[in-house]
Amino acid sequence: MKRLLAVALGILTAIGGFLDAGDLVTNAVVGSRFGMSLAWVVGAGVIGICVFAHMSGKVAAVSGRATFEIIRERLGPRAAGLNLAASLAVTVLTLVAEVGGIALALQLASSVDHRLWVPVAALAVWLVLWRVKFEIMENVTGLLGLALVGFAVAVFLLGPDWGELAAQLAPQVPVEEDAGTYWYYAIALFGAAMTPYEVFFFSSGGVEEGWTAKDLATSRLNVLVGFPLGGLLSVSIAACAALVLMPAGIQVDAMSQLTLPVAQAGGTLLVAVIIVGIVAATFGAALETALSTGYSLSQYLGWSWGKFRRPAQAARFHLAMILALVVAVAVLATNVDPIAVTEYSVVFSAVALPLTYLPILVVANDPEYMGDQVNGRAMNAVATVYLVIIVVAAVAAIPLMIATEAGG
Amino acid sequence: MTGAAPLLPEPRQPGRVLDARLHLLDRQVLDVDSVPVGTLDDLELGPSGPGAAAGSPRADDPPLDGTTTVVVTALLSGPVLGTRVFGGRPPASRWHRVLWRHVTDVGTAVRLANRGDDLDLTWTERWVRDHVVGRLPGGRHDPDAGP
Amino acid sequence: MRPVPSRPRSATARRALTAATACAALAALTACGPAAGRAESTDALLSVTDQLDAAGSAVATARLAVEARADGHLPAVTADAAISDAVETASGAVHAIGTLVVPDSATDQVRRAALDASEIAVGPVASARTWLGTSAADAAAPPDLLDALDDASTAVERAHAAVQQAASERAAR
Repeated sequence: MKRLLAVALGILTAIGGFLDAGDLVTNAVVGSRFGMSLAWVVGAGVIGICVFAHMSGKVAAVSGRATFEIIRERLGPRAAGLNLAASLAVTVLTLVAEVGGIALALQLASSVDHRLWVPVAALAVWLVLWRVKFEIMENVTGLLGLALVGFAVAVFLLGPDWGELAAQLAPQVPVEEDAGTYWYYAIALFGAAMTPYEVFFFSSGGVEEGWTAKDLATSRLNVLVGFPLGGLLSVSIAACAALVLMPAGIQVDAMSQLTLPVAQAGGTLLVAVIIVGIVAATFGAALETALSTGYSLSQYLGWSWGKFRRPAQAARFHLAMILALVVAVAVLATNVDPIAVTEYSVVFSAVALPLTYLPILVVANDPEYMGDQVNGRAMNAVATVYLVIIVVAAVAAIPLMIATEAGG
Repeated sequence: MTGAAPLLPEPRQPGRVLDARLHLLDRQVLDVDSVPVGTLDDLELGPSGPGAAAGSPRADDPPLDGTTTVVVTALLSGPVLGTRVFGGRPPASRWHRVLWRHVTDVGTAVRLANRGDDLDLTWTERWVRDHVVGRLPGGRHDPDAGP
Repeated sequence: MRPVPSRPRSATARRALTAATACAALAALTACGPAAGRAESTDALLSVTDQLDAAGSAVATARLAVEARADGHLPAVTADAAISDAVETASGAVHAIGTLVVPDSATDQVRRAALDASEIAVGPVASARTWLGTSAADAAAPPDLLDALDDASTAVERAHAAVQQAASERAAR
């Protein structure tokens, strides 16, 4: 019974933890401009993140080594150093987006300007990193993030013509958009679903929670059930936008527009639920990205790290996270639009994907680390297919960004 | 070790064969309590046998001619990483050494017999702890002890 | 008696990674530059239609928010956030169209018409926010506000069609 509860908790946390500011914004933007015609990308991204999150969790559980330690061991100091620089840049950019997302969500609940919420949000994130136990932090933000189920409820309450909605699922470029923009947003959605920080976080989290090979079955179940359901929530955000905002001719450029379909469907109560969900999802992702900056830097340089230690026993790790948060606040203080930052962060995530995913795949096949737990053939086949997709997306991202003027 | 090229075929050594690049370099170094102390950034090699005292090599040491057996005398970490990335050679006095005799195990990580806090190598950690993190309220709070 | 030199294995992989990272960094810098300096008239007209789209989207957002608020479906603070974002978008569009440099006087005429339409759009969106501030809870939306929003939407749509026609004429020439 207790074990069943633990599994249920893990799955619920995985659902709530799947979504972050990048998913929220990108899905809403895409839904309002392309309807459901890009939903297949979310499906592809979910399968990819399942494969690689499971693999990095497995490597962490069996070898006790987290992702960036392995990247350093396999690539050597130079290539791993470049990888570190690129990964840190993308992760900090994502952190900026998440902290901005918390502030925007709090503005929805208070109508106090989001610029005033930024320092408050960053301080709250730091306090949790400083004081709250890893498991509690994970479970609370994950469970509150489940409130985003409100988007799926809203889709049902809007009572769409299901046949028509399903017909939109076919991948096709809408008449008023060009193919370049379509593929640009496809890459953005893919990057939002597969953000590299999730892999750092997942493997380091496995070490934090002291996973062993025995916990693998639970972790596999959490990922395989939780992430697809999280992906379904992503798609329902796009569906909400497609049902209400697209017919009205609204292009999403603000977090507040996400509440309009929900208000129409479920009224004040559902809007309140959604706002709680957005705050929890962005807050959880801000914690994860801040931790990921600390994890990757500490693991590359061999510093003592982890929330399971006292802050004084992982001093440089905590200092790195504090600095990352200070940078995030400083960037947001320039009055940059958090939504624009989010849109860029998901595309640069796509660019950085191969840097993280290739070393994981290599090590998951190394018997020295993995013993008899090396990848099976089916797993390697899927992972290799994804690696090709990831490389194509990474190479195409920047040219498409320039050609379409970032999806303009 | 494959660190130096011998003129004669190397005799078979008893015990485990380690490849310096594959099994040692860039591994995590953990202390006796499994706390990371650093990454194995480089190795210091020296001649084996009597007369070759452990310690830093000096400029007036006789050059190695390929017939001398070379052994790993110390693990290097810290600023020496810069030379791995950018090349060059810092003065030997700047290296942070961990003597090879402290190594207890080489697996997916290199384990040491001493405590990390006793090593020169971790001075930055101690500096940040004493001047920044330890001074913030709650900095020495044990996460498992509850709020 | 020297440190082991850096490893030669996977040198090509490393070089490829180095190149990829360098490209990413360069592209990051390029992408940060604003999308300014459209010299060609068709490009300018495209830019104008983009801004008119944004203005139209802002008007529609305000209208949805006002309706939802009048029906009691949207909390006042959330409606306020939505409409203030819409005001920002609409006035941003006016600013963008107003400061656009166009190559010839014919294009400039089209631009002026679009500027007028986008200016019309800002008024009702702003007064929606005023209504929100002064109205009691669940007060029905005043019909003249909804009418003004509809008029603004029509004006923007008309300007949009005109700009598109001008652009296609340019392209045909």
